[in-house]
Amino acid sequence: MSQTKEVHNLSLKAYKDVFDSLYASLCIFAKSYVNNLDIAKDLVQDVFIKVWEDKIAFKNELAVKSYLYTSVKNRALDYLKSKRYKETDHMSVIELDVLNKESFYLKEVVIEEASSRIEEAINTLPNKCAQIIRLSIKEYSNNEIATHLEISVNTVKAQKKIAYKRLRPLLKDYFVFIAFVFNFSD
Amino acid sequence: MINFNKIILLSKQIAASLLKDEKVESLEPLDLFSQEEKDNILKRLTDNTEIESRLQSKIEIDKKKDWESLKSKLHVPKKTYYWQYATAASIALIVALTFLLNNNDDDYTEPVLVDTKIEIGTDKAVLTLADGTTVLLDSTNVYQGKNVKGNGKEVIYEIAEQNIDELEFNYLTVPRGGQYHVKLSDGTEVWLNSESQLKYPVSFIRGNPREVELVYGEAYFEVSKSSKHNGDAFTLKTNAQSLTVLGTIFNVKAYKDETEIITTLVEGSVSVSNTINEVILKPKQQSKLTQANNDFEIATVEVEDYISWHRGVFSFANKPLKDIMKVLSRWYDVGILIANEDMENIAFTGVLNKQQSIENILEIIKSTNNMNYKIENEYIIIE
Repeated sequence: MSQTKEVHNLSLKAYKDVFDSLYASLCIFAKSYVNNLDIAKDLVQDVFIKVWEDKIAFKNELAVKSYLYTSVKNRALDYLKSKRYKETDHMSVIELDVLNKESFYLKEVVIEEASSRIEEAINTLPNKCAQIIRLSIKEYSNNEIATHLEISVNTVKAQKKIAYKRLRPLLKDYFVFIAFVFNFSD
Repeated sequence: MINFNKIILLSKQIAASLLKDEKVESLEPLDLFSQEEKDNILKRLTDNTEIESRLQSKIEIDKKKDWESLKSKLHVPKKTYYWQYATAASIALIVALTFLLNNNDDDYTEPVLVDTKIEIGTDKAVLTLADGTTVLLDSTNVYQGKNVKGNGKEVIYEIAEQNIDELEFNYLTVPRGGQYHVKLSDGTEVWLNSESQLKYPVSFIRGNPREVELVYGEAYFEVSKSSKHNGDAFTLKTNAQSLTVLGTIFNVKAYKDETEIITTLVEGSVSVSNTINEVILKPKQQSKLTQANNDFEIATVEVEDYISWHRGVFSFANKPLKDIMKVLSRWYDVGILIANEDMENIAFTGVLNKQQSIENILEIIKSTNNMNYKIENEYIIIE
């Protein structure tokens, strides 16, 4: 892994920045395992405490994300196997098998990362544009959006154009990689 | 193991396709996921209910509160912490940037995005139905149920045709940075301020008092007259006091982080009580119940200063800075830190539109008082 255990100068400020940008996402991600938001929050906070107490340093943002998602997943799975959980709730072996799969983990990361990405992008748009794009993501057609918002179809199209224009700098980087292939390795 | 980088890139591609209203092609060639998993990814990102439920979770995550609780568990030299913030900010920023930008991965160059822009509050709320389902109400979400309609601004209940014999309760929760209007089935109108929760029955039982609860926060009430409801009184409970009226206009402020409950009467007459005392208010009178002594203090006040918020205006009359900051922090959903204690009680008078940036408001206060401030992350620091 790319994090190293060593004494470092992780300031509280930098630590808080990581918390601010990833805490909500990690909680929602953890909830997909434990199905309870309060427990999800506890698990994520435990992981954050460990990062601080163990003075874990990271090479870059990717390493931060990779470490935090993995740790939260492991903690969630541990929790589901714990006595504490089994006393109040239970999960079938089959359900637990699904959650244990690597592909479940990656799927949940993709969903959360894409969701927060979309939200972030929409939040940069003016109100009307944002409203239209939100509906468009929910697979509303231009006609349906027009009816829903009581505006003309042409306004919808014009607003979409404005939205794409404004989002372009945010979006263009990722199309270059469309054809990438996954590498499996240890 | 899969290169995590690829997963992040894949997420971004999917997000980009959806934003551009294009077919999501990046998932198809992957043998990493089963077809079922691929379908699940797309459903979770595009289905209305799925999106709502994620948003609901996000609303229920109180980042500031959780950060405070997390911070209290860390071993940090607490006493100097905020001064480090204030005085060594530039150093901290450099460290932070180094930490976030020092990027050795070849095709990945984006720093963690920390949005430091402080937004103006908007009309938004979460409606919790009797069966526990929650519905987000804001400019992009409408809700239509039996006898109830919610849109970007308000939720309206209609009078049930038949009398009912069992009450069904709904909750309306307004987060920090929000405000909302609700019209109850008896015609009573309530404006809820930021960080407030109201509990009320979907429909009232005829012949019984109309009971509503301000669980926490602040609300402005225009109560529909009892004479229209065969004399059924209207009662508002908060955690420490109860208030009974026969049709009137008043404002109640009962925040969890404040030690007093303030009731301001605009019109009509109300009786305010707790387990020990009871007082009757006349128009323009205000009662203040302090946790310390269980007594109601009564004063005559300039009513407008206490109710203007529901019309979109802050009105501060000789208010200490610390109280003003509390109001601002709820509407703009920011943390406030008064680093210089001498500033806490400096008073400010002014009427300010709520639809302007917090920077504007701070500049106005700054221009009339000897105050300095800065904005860091989602914190306003008064120096």
